[in-house]
Formats: sequence, C-alpha cells, structure tokens
Amino acid sequence: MKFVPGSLFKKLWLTITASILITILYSFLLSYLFYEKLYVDQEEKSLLEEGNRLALDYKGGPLSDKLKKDIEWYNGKSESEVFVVNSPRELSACLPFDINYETLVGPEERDKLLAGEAVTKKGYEERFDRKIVAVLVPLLDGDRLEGIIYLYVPLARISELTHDFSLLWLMGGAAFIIIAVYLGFKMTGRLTKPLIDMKRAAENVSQGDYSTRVEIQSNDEVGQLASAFNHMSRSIEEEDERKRDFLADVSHELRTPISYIKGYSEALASGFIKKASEQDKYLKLINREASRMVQLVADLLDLSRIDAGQYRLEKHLFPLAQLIEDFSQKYVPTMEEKQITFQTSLDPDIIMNGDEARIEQILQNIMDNAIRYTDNGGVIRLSLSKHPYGCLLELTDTGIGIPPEDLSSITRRFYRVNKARSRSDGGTGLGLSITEKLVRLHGGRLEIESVMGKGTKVKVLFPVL
Amino acid sequence: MKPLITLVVFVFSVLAGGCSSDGLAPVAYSPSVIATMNIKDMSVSFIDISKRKNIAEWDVEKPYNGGIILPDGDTLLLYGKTLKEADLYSMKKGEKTGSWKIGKGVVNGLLLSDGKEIVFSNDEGNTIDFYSTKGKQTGQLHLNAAPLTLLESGKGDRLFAVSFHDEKLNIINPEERKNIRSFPIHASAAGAVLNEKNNEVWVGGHGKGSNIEQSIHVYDIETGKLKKQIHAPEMPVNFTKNGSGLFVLSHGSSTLYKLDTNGAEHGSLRIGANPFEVETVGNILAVAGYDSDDIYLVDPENLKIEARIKVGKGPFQIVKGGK
Repeated sequence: MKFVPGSLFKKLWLTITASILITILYSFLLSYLFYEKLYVDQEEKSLLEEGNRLALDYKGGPLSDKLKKDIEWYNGKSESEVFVVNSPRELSACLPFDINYETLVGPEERDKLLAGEAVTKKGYEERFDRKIVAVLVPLLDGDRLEGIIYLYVPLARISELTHDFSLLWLMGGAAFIIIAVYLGFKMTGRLTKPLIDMKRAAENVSQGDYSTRVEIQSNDEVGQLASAFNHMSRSIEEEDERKRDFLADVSHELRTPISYIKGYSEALASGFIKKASEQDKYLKLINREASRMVQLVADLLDLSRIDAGQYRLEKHLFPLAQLIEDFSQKYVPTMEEKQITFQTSLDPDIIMNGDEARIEQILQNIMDNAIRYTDNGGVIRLSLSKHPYGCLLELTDTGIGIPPEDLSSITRRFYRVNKARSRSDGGTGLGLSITEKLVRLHGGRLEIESVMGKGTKVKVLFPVL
Repeated sequence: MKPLITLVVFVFSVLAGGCSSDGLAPVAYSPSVIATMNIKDMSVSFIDISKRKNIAEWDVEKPYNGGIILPDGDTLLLYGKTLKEADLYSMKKGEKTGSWKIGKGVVNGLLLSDGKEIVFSNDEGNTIDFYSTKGKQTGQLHLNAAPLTLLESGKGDRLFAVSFHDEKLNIINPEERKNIRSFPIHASAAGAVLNEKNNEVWVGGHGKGSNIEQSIHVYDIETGKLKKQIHAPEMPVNFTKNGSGLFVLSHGSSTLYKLDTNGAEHGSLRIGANPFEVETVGNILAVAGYDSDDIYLVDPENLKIEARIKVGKGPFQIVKGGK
C-alpha cells in the first residue's frame, strides 16, 4: 500500500493507530493509578487491622513495659514497622505551649486520636525521611491518650511492585501496539481498496470506457456505493448505445427520402423524362418525400422539446367526446375507401382539462396506426367512458396485430415491428413515442394490448375533472 | 392591616432575638466562682465551686488564652498572645464593656496583691508591662529573656519572671520597675511557685527537644543556684500552695503531687487527661483537664476527687478572683 499525502488510507490508518495508542496509554495510566490506590488502600487496611489487634492487649493505665516489649517482639516478626509511642511530647501533649519540636503526631491527629479514631498517613514523613503509608492506633485510658501504636510500610516497596507490574504492562502494551498497528494497516487496506478500484473505474468511464465495472466485495456502504457505480456505468453505456442507434436511425430515415428526391430531381433535370404526366408523377413523388422529411423533422423537434422539458401544454376545459367526434370526421373518407367499419361509443359528459391540439395529435397518431394496419373490410371501434382513473379512451382495430415480444418496445423511437425499415406503410417511426410522452404530459397512461392476426387495442387513460 | 402588624411584630422579634443572641449569659460573681479559659473552642466556662456546677458558658470567639478578674469583682479581663487588645467583659451584664490596647505577644497576666496594678508578660517584646486597673500603662521593663510565668512574692516587693525559651529567671522590683537580677535556669521552663520559707523558687518545665522533663528544679532566690531537683514525672508545669502543702501538676502523666516545703511527697493522684492548671480556690483544689474538657475538684488534704464538672473544649487556664 502506497502512502499518498492526505489520502483516506493514511487518515484512516493514522486514526486507528492514534486511537489504539491513546487507549493503551489511558488504560495504562488508569490501571497504574487503580493498582497503586488499591494496593495502598489494602496495605492501609491491613495495617489498621494489625494495629487494632495489637491495641486489644492494652488494658488501660500507663503503658506497661510488657506491652512495649511484646510490640517490640512483634515488630521483629511483622513485615511492617511497628512501635509504641508514649512520649507526651511526641503525642503533641504540650501543644498550647510554643515547643520548638517537630512532633510525631500533629494537633489535628491528636484530636482524632483522642476521639478514639485511628489516624492514617500517606506520603513523606520527615522523621523517617521516606514516603510511607502509616496507621496510628490510639491507646486510650478514658480521656487520656497514654500512647499510640505506630505502624508503617515504606511506600518504596509498593512502588517497586508497581514498577514490576508496569514493566510487564509496557511490554505487553508494546506487543499489542505492534500487532494492532499491523492489523490496522491491513484492515485499512481492505476498507479503502474498493474505493481505489472505484476511482480507477471512474477514470476509465470518464475516458469513454463505459464497460468498466467494479467488483462488489461487501454489502456495506462501500459495497452499495460500488453497486450504485456499476448501475450508473451500465446506464451510461445503455444511453450511449441508444444515442448511437438514434443517430443511425435518424440518418437512415433521412437518407431514404433524400435519395428519392435526388434521384427523381436528377431524372427531371436531365430532361430524360419528357412526358408531362410522368414529370408530374415524379414531382408528386419528390413532394411526398419532402413532406415525409418535414414530418420527420417536426416529430424529432417535438420529441427533443418534450425530452428537454420545454414543451408547454396550453390547457383548458373542453368536452372530450365533442373533440373526438369532430376529429374522427376527417377519417371517414379514408375509412370508406378502405371499406372499414367505424363504430363510436362516446360518453358526452366527460370534461377534460388539456391541450386540445395535443389531444388531437394523440388521436391522430393512434388513428393513423389503426387505419394503416387494418386491412380492407376491417372494423375500428372508438369508445370514451368513465374510468376510476378518470376516463378511458379505447381504440380497437381488427388489424394485423403486434407480436408479443415487440409490445414492450413499441413506443421506443424508430422501433419497428417490421425490421426491414420499410416506409411503405408510411409514418416516421416516432408517432407512438411522441404519443406516449404527450399522454404522460397530460398525467395519463398509454396501454397497448394486441393479439397477432386479430387486432390491437390501444387504451389511453386521462384524469378528468 | 392585620398582616402588616404581624409582619412588623415578626421583624421586630427577629431583630430583637438576633441582638440578644449576641449577648452572653450573665454571671453572678462570688469568690467561689472560677472561670476556665477553653482554648480549643474559644469559650469561657464559669463554675461555682460551692455548687459544684457549671453556671455559664461564654462563646467569646476570640483566641484568648488567659484572664484576670479585676478588683471590682465584676470585670473579667481577657487577653491572648495573637491579639492586639485585651477585652473587658462585665460578668454581671454578660457583655463586653471595653478594650485595652496592650499589643501582641501577651502570654501571661497577674493582678498584683495591692490590687492596683496588673503586669503582663510579653514574649514578643521581651517586656514586663505594667497597667493600672483602669487600663493605663504605667510602666514597661525590658528583659533579657522572653517572660512566661509570673510570680509575686508574699510581701509584694518582688516579681519573678520565668522564661520559657531563653533559660533565664528574672527577679524584678515592681515598684521601681527594675530588674534586680537574673540567673540561668533549665530549658523549656514553665510553671513556678515560691517557697519563701526556704528562700527557694520551684520551677517546672516540659523538657528540651525530645527529652521529657521529670523534675521540679529548685533554685535559691538569692544566688540562683540549683539547690536540688524534685522528682515529679512527667512534665510538672503548674503549682499551687495552701495550708496543706505544695501541689504540683504534671501534665505528661496527668498526675497531681502533694509535696511539703522540703520536697517530700505526701501523695499523688492520676487526674484528668493532659491537665495544665491547678488552682487553690478556698479550701479546695481545682484541676483543669485539657483533653478531657473538665474541672476536677480535689480535697487537698486527702487528694480525693470530690467532683468532676464538664467545661468547654480545652480548658487551659483557671481564672479566680482576688484574695
């Protein structure tokens, strides 16, 4: 793993290492303190118990030589230093007088001892010139402080113990730090590897390699990020493919009419066609192809405006049945020509808030398709009824139908069931795509059902007032 | 209107209560009344010996360590080493009536037998200060040693100032404010009594450093010579005398010794806890137990304890009225 200045890896690794170090140091200090405190407290407690047991031998009156000797003997056997003090001077008995003497027992301590309480001392004691933990047990005869039993342990002994303990602790701590830092290094590497992979992948994508994918190793946030990245690059790849297809489609769609126009116009210009009726036919062909190009360009413009969100609907309220009625009239001659039976069933109460011209465009697209793919003698049914969604506009034909595998793609731009890209059936290949988008702009839904050879049913659902 | 009256009455009673709480209990003084200066809780306890009773406690809240009852039989003069002033209290009224500016360092005071003057030993200025009973300084004598214990000869023509720190005893002519002579004595001397019959001054003490004083040192008044030592362990620091004999109190062993004028022991008694003061009051001995916070009344003839009376914390000095 390489260190990059300011890299996430470095930051993470430093954070982990610093946390480990701080934790170890803190726990070391705490345990050292607790250990010493517990140990000192334990010593103090045992000294107190020892002193209290010894004090039981005192039966009152001035301290006897026997008691002093017994305690002297005990001192030889005990681990702690034990002695009796019965000098009133040492016990601060002369306190009200200004005696220039450092006594063993201070004024407050004397008061405590007089109250029958043992006194504990911790720290430096000038008399012994060392740090000690000491317990002073009073020997009281009524109110008289006849003496004390002084027990102490040098603190150096405790420090020695804590020294051994801290050495062990430090060694253990150092070993732990090395292991923990190594493991932290490994762990940080594992954590940051997917991020580094993703960075590389993003670089590849930015250079145009949309097929780049990241290996997903975990299910955590980083794993989810990798998954999202893969999804994103897949979408970009698909979009790129669509764009290329679209460009190929557009150029293909434009090339055919241009070739026609070029060919016919050249034929006319060369004077090769002499007959006026032939010339007229060729001119009509040129005009037809030019119109097709105009339509194609208009459809492409519509689509791009809808996609760019610049398409504005001019909505107002109108009775939908009336619009359909008026609109369908212009198809009557065509249908009669094709001997198609046209049946309508329209609910006149349906009032819609929409852009009339766009609704007409929608109707035109689906009607054109129905007439185009319905054979002579077929039937086209148009109905408008109330629906829980709002209203349902249903157009049923007895045309050739759409294969089930093409149904889901039928509204894609330039998608053709007839893959030969024949324009013999007319249309730009953008009609249904535009229709679906216009329906959505009106807050509606477009559904197409079809059975091959039987016919197609186009359902348009609109919200109404 | 009623609540207002209640409020006024309440406020007045609180104020009045507050004022009276500052006051001290009045004490009807008689020669059988003694006061103890309790230095641990800064109080004064009054005991009527005849009633064997503590009759009043005063929380004076000032570090007084000694007192004198003035000849008027009502004024209690209290002084302390760390205080610049000595304060006067009327026992009858139970209130402070005035102060004398006597300066810091006063460790002992003595009303002279003529009843006209008071002497203070000042161990900061190494002086003996003379004051009239009205509080006017009438003289000052500089000494070569810090005085602590003060004694007056029977005739009143000599004052004895025993030094605690400087191992010296000064003999003073109070009339002339003059130091007659001084002679060296033992270290950490405290407490003394005159045995004029033998021309002796008996001086007690604490002992120097870690040494515990075991004896009374007997010096010849004229020559200053150490005549003998009387064994009275441990740390004899206070004396009193009466018709029954000389009484020595050793605080280290909490023992009261009864001696005759030749130093022979005629009995001893373990008494109190760490007692510092013994005083003859009428025909009884009063002993103050510094650690046991009590006063013992002892029959001087047979050294029997007749009563034990609780006082404030740390009774250090017994104050009694004039003869």
